[in-house]
Parts: sequence; structure tokens; C-alpha cells
Amino acid sequence: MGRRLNAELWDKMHYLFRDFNDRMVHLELHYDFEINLETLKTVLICFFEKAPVLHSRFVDNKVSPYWEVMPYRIEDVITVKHSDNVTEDIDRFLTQYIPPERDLQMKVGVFYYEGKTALCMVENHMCMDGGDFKYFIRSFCKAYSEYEEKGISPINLREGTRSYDSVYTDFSKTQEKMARNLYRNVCAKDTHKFPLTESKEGDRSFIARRRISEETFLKLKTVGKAHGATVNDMLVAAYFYSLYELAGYGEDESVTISCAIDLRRHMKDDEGQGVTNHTAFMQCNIPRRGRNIFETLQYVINSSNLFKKDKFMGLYGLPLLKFAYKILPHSASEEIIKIGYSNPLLAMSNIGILDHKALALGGNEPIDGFMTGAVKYKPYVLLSATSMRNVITLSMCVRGNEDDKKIVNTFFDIFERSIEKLLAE
Amino acid sequence: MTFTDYAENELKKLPNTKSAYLYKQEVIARMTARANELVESGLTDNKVINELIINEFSDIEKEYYERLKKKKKAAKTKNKSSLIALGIVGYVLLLVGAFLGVSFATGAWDKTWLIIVVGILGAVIAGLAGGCFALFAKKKKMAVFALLIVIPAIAALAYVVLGLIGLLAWHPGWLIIVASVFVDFIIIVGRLVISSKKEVEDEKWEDD
Repeated sequence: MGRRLNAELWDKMHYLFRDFNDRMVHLELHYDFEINLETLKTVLICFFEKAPVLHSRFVDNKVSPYWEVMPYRIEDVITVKHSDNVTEDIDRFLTQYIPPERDLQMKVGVFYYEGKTALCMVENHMCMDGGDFKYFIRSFCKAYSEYEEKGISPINLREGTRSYDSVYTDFSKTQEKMARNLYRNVCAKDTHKFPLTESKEGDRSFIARRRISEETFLKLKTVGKAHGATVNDMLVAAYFYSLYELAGYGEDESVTISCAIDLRRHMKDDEGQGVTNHTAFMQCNIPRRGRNIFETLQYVINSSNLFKKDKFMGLYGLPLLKFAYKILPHSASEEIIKIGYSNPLLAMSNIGILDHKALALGGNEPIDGFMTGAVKYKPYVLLSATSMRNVITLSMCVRGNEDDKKIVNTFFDIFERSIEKLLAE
Repeated sequence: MTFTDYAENELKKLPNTKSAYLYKQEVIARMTARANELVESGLTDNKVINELIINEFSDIEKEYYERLKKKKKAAKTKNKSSLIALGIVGYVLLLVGAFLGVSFATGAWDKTWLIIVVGILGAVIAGLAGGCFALFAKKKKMAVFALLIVIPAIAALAYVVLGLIGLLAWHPGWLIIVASVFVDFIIIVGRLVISSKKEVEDEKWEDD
């Protein structure tokens, strides 16, 4: 039997989410050169050894689940192809599903085309969230460059605890005591849905995306500043405004979108932290659509400011989850949590900037790229956003059919028009 | 640097004992096994393999002393368990001896069985009380819960024993159990008052 690793609170929560999404986090980067495969393999093996959860299988023991570290071969991790149709190959690779019982929790795709390389990664959200996945890929690219150029062994990846309660380490004793007593169920109760079709056999995972140009992005920043709004606020406002139009919600209906927040904001220092999950949701609610998109924006700013003032933002509910997992065997705690947990129907994850400089491989910066969250099962949706070189990529991963693809693309069309309205002032 | 050189260098301060020697050999064997695993995974650069493994085994001296500490603790626990087992056997023999001795001497077999019952129950309650005392001594939160169990247990045992030997009337002797529950209630209230006073002090500190 292999070495065992603890199944942490968030590992178990993301396992519970198997009813709502496929738990895959996706990354696509394009480079204008051909990546050295041997260097990539060397770096990847070292990083797998530093983060052994990536080559472990999840054992769903009914009392106490755990990870079992498994032997692997790098050839099983990496798919290499000289592509004739790189878009299709990338799409097929990115929409794959990795069962948690498998020995590997991350897959890497290297697609060579026209003297370029598309580097794709798919990993199990149970292992790490978008925040740590960005750290992982930044460290990976740095290690690749140092190994390729200077022969420095690629062994620099944070190791340490993956426990959820690292978020409390930089609190004072009193604050920590207060935070650990935040026994509150903060799930979204809103029943407003994205207007996708009903689930049926034949539904397949797809990733729909839309770009917001650099010019538009820079204008968003400027207009946002004038209104006291961040780019994130502007995107959320456009999301709300577009949803009312697409789904036909009443103008006076209150709608909530659950926005992912990185709980690492509570941690000053990530020394001694292994790659893991530290993401929760905050409920961004607007009381009505507003007479125009600027009123919607003001509602979003008001909602977001309320959360920003809260020093315990995102920490509510953690003690309750911990309690449920502690006092009951795993199978029983899953059933209890499912009773109290309400998965958000509408969600957003602004994963943030993919720093093209930090993602350079041997001096070659990526020319394009994006990261996106899990494929959601209907009726749940998640709008993800990343930016690279001031170009925002919006994406929505759905398990659906051709009609759902059309609906998502229509949503993106309305979204673009909403952005134009925001900039039209 | 080979794994042997690394182990020799890192563990040079270890005493020249058999256990230190065996530990060194074990570390070298583990490092070699890890290297083989990495080669199986597909890693081909020996320099990287070496550095990765040395990085993994960076605290081998500390690990040795921690193992030693654990071994000593385990030996201590084993001795303690053996002594406790011996003590229990000795106590049971004493109890049986006392029962038989008193029974043969007095012929009051209808009463002397109480020696066994009181002896066993008394030992259990003494164990609980001892555990409770130990928890208080270590200032553990569970100490109060243990006390809440021990007090009524002692009261119940006292009621039964004193009632059986005729020193306490069954009625109103049962009030001793009610009194013990009342004592528990006072302890709970007292703890709550102390806790809330502490919370107010914490809040005041926070405000300040």
C-alpha cells in the first residue's frame, strides 16, 4: 500500500461537488516556439514529487477518505501531438474528465503546430484551486527556464500543509477564536437560473469563450475608476445586466451571483503551504436590475463594498463544515452537508491575471492563454475570467448540447453589448 | 555526491552506536529506492535525481532524534502498561483473597460478596477520579465533563453500598444522588459564569 495523504476539508468538499460539476480546472497557453519536451518532462516529474497529491488516487473510505500516493510514468501524464487541427485537439484534451480514483490527477498536453506549441493542463480541483494553479504554472515556467538556461534543478515548489485552517494563521488569538466560531450557513438561496436546456443523454462538455480586446479592457479600467469600480465590478455588472435580458427576469427581481474569492487574502505569508484549495464564495446581490447598466453597477459596488469591509470575508461556514466532517463518518457527513448546502445556480470566478512575463519558457513569453474552471452540469453555470496582455478571456464550461452552445454564445453577445453600454458614457 | 557520502556527512554528529549505524543504512536504502522510483517515473537527469532526493531527505539528523524519542516514549508506555496490568492482577487477587478470608472467618457469605462488588466498582470510580484529576492538572477542557460524570457515579455507589450494609436508609437515602446532580448543576453554572466573564474581558481587549 502506498503512502497516504490526508484528505483535507476542501478536498472532500470538491469531491462532494461531483454532483454539480466535473471538478476539472483547465489551462491553455500558446508559445511561439517548440517547447523542449525533455526539459518539460524533467520539470513536471520534479513538481509531481513536490506535490504528491497530483499522483495520488482518492480513496472514498466511508468513514475517513484519504489520498494514496501511487507510482506513475511521465508518459501517462503527457500527451504529445504534432497537430493538423490544433483547435480540435486542444478542445478534446481540455474537455477530458479525470476520475479521482485514478492514479494521476493532472494531465498535460503538448501540441506542436506551425513552429508553435500549445501547452495545456487539466487538473483535479480537489488538488488545487485557480489561485494555486496560477502559482503552480508560474513556478513551473520559472523552473523550466532555469533548468534549460542554467542547469538549475527544478525543485522549487512550495511544500507543506494543505489544511483549510491555514487561513487563520495570521490572525491574532482573539480574531482566530472569533473566526473559528463563525458557525453560519452562507449558501446562496436564489433560484434564478441561466436559461439552458434540460439535461439529456448526449450532452457533452464544451468550453465556450469570448475575448474582450485590450482596447476595451483599458477603457473599462478608466471608466471603472471614474465610477469607483474595479474591473471585476464592471464585469459582474455586465453579467447581471446581460442575465436579466437573456433569461427574462423581471426588472424588479432581486438576483444573486456567487463570486469566488481567494481566502489567501487572509494569509500574509505562504511559507510552509502546499498547493491546495482556499476558495469560498461571496454572494453578490442586487435588489433589481436598475434603470440602466450604471445603476446595476452601483448596486454591484454597494454589495461588493459590504464584503470588503468584513475582515472575515469568506470564512463563514468553514467551522460548520469542519464540525460536520469531524463528528460524523464521511458518508454520513456528506449527506448532512448536502441537506444544508445549496450549490449556486449562477456563479463567477475572476481568476485574474496570467502574467505573460512570469509564464515565459526559456525567454519565450506566451502569446496567448487562459484558465477556466470546472465544467458545470446543468442548471449550474460559472463564468470564468482571466486576462493576459490586457486581453480578457471570458469562458463558460457546460455539459450540454448544440442548443446550449448557442445560448451561451448569445449570452456572450449580450455581454459584449452590455460592456459597450458601460463604455458609452 | 553519493547518497552514502550525504548520509555520512549529515549524520556525522550521531553517536557511534548500533542504532545510529542501522539508521544510516536505512536512510541510504530509502534514498536509493526513491531514486529508482524516479527513474521508473521517467526522470533521466542524475543530477536532478540526486538533488531532488537530497532535498527530500534534508532533515535526517532531526528524524533520527525524533525516532529515538518515540522509541523511549514507547518503551516507557510499555513499562507503564506492564505495571498497570500487574497492578490490576495483584488487586484482583487481593480482592478475592480478602473475600475468601472474610467469608471463611465470618461465614457471612450473604454479605461478604459486597467486598468484590465494592472493590471492583470502587476501583472503576477511583480510575475515573484519577483521570479527572489528571485532566485538571493538565488544564484540559474535558476535566469538567469528567467531573460531572464522577460525582454522580460516586454518589450512586455510596448509596448502594451504604444501603446494603444498613448504614443508610434506602429512603430518603436516594436524595444523595439528587444532591450529586445538584452539585453538577452548580458546577455547570459556575463554568458558564466564568466563561462569559472571560468573553467580556476578551471583547474589552479587542475594543481597546
